[in-house]
Amino acid sequence: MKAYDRRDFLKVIGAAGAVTGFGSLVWPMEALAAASGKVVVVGGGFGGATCARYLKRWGPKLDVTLVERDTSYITCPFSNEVLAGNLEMSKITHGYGNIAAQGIDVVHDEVTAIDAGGKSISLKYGGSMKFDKLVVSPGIAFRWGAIENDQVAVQQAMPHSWKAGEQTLLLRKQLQAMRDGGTVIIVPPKKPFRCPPGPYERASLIAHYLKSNKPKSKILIVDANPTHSKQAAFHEGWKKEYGTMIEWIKDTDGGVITSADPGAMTLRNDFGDEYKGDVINLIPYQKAGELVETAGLTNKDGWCTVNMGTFESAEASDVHIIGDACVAGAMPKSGHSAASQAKNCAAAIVSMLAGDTPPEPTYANTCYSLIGPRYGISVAAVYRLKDGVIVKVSGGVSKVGNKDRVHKNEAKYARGWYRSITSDTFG
Amino acid sequence: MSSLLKIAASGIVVLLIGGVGPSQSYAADAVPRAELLASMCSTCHGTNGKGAKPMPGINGEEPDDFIDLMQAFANGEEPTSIMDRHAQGYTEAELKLLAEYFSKQ
Repeated sequence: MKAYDRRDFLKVIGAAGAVTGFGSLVWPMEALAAASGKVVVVGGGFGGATCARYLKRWGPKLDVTLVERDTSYITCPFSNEVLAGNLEMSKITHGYGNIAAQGIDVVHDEVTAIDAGGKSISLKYGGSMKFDKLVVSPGIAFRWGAIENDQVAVQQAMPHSWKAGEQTLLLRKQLQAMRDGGTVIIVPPKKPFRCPPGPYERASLIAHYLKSNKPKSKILIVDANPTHSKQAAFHEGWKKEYGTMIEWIKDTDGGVITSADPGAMTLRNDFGDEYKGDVINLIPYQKAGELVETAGLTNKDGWCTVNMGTFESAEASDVHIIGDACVAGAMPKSGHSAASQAKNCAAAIVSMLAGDTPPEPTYANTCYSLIGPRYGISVAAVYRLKDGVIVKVSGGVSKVGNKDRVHKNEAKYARGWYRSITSDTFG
Repeated sequence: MSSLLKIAASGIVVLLIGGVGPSQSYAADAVPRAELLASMCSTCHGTNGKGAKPMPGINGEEPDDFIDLMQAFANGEEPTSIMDRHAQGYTEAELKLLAEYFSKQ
């Protein structure tokens, strides 16, 4: 009989804790402090990459693998600056080298299936991979067909630019080619969607570009929603910086677009009215990423119901879902929210694998938007778990009537936020 | 795994289900709450609170100064563009945990 070593012993403790799901294991200190097991994280955006890093930070003995299809990540935050020509794509592109250097196994492959019961995932190129705990941070997918012809229209004629990359550059090219006096139309999707203030920041930064390059042009935001994120602060800024260049049309005023004609560059609303644009940014309706939908982990609305403390899926134990794909109470679908959820999820997993109770969750979100390169506004909030639901306990939007100096500072802080979160996420 | 170990493992499970043993855990938490709380600040203030210009570093502060400033943000005594909205979200006990944590970073 082989004498067991400490490592095996810890594995047993960890497995016992995970299987029973019981809170506090009563055992000597060194056993409790050491979580072990294999955790696979799928998706290398703000949610997944942050989760992998904090799993390793808090569970240095864990075997952590990050599976990500691409070899670099282009952030959606600040992609509107790229779109408006103020920033190059390379400035918002991040590699995974620093994550790998931390002792995390980074595998560039695509997950084709999740076998929650068998605790394994299938990879397109690399066979299959077993896990004790799986974290999925798949981001969003588009709900094609919500607007007639949307899938065809966004390919070239009406780019969505809602996953940063080629689409961002395509829209930038179209804006640069547009005549002075042209009309840019932005179509935000019906809520919920990734980055609630995104379409309005986009309108702002496009306006900034047009103001100095094509001042006779106009921007229409044709919105399927009755209200929008940071509304009062955006509208104040638009008036101040751009006069009447930006017009926002809400749902009941004809904002609900039902079909697109990419050949004619027109959009039709639910009243039958037509809008013609020189450049059209059609942002499709959204749902959780395809992977979780295929795996049967989504609810009837297309998003993932999770335990909002641990982010464990309501559909499969030992599978945790974070970021834009999950339903997280009052938290908006933002990179900062995803990173916050990732840390709570990592703390819960490390605790569970050590047979301990996860610490009480705390969540935060901070989201800056630029109305101009030197005009920032923000929304910030702290959240807690109450009766199983994430609720807001403090926070709000930048005040209307703030001095120019405050706007200038918030624009600087927006850039500081970007440097900080990307370094916390990607190393 | 040896059979002896299997028995040992199932013993642990039984122990857990039965709730036998001292009710109070005397061991350190696998992830202390201060770690998780502080990680919320790190998103803007840099990993371990070490700053990301122009976001100030919040590491190495005297705990009393940290708590005093956060409370001044929360009640509007200290001008800030955003920290009032964050500071109001934490209890005094939590601010104390954060202050002690960052003082050691």
